[in-house]
Amino acid sequence: MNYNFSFPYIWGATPDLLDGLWMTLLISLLSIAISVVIGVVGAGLRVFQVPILSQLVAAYVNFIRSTPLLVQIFFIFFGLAEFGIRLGGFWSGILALSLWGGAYNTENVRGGLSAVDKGQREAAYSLGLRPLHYLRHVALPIGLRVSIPAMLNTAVSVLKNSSYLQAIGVAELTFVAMNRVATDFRTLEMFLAIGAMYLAIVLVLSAAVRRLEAVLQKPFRTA
Amino acid sequence: MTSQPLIEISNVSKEFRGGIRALNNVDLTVAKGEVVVVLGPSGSGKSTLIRCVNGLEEASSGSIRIAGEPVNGHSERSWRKVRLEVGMVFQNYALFPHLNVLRNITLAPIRAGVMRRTDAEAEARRLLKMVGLSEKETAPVSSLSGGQQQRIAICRALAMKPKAILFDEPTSALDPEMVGEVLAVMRKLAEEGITMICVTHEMGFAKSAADRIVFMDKGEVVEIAKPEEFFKSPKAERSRQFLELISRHND
Repeated sequence: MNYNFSFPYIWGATPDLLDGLWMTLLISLLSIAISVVIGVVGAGLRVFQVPILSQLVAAYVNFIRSTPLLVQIFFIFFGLAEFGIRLGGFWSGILALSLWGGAYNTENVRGGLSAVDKGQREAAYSLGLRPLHYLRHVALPIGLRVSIPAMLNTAVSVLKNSSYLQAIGVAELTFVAMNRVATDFRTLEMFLAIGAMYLAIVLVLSAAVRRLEAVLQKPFRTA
Repeated sequence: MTSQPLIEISNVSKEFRGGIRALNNVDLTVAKGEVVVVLGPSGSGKSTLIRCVNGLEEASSGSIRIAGEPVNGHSERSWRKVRLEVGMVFQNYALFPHLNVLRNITLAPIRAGVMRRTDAEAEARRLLKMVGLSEKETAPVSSLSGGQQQRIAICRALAMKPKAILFDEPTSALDPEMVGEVLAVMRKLAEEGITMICVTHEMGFAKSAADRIVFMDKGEVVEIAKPEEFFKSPKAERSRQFLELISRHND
């Protein structure tokens, strides 16, 4: 093999890559935040078995989990355009990733909520708390702790899956690298570089969540 | 004790899915300030009865009134109204594990809109003092013994200033040496004139604190009597058998 690996090439491409990285981070963090909100609301609707909405959430989760993300992205970007809804690459991407992560987070949060002892609900209700107060002040604080590892997994997946958005022309990290490769054919350099960048942000994200987890654990500690 | 009825249970039956009949035409009236102890073998429907009173179970038929108001309206809103007036203490304490002692007590009064935070905290401190746990105010509940947790749970129920408190085997999950401290708090409440329905196996407490004993078996109220009558000369055959079994066990 006579491939001339060039570090200076990576160095030269770095400003471009950082632009892509910024876009990846922006889209991912927004999508992760929205997917957490979707997850909490969806799980709440499921756990309280709110008529109709609960079934709709179940169908939504099933649909997302049983179809490829790339198909979902194309559906939102190209499919909705047929109905005159043109969101553009950026917002289509955020919508697709949020819905995708939201479906998984619905299941993650639901799992955590169902791990909350049923005695907690009875105690809360016997004290005259409303269901929403029970959810917010008792079930979620207890259940989310259980869900956090699974939600971190989903968040990391959302971040990595943002690379699919290169298929609809969003100038995120993978898109930038592909562009460079198309003109300069420096495949090894580019994919190694963006691989390292993805790895780095996943590590940072994981560390941040572990920190969050430690903070949340505190009230559980015995004095 | 006044004779004004606070809780009126009339002709209540409860059938669980699968056709198990837990309560069969139960009648019981509890006066304001009265302490009623419900005794009976396990599976006799004691817990189901008090769970029906605050809507954790819904009676299949019959009616329950609290302070004259019918409570089995079957809507979540009407149950909530009942629960604001009737507190409950559970066998397994069911404290909120993510909150410290003070927050456990103040959560409901603040969120249910009964008190402002400062008032709720002052009330919580007063209650903690009454049960002898003032120094545990900021402790996480996981650091407390079972007896301490149950005393906190009693404070939590009292903080809502309920008209009555239901106790569902409050000492059954406790180590023997901790039973006394919880019963002492319950005695204090009984003396203060708080209306109580208490499901328990503590015969000593039943003898000394109860105004009336309700003996249940197989989902039916078999006998209602003053404790001195019930323990000395029970009228029903099943009561007699139950007391014999218990005294044999205690020998």
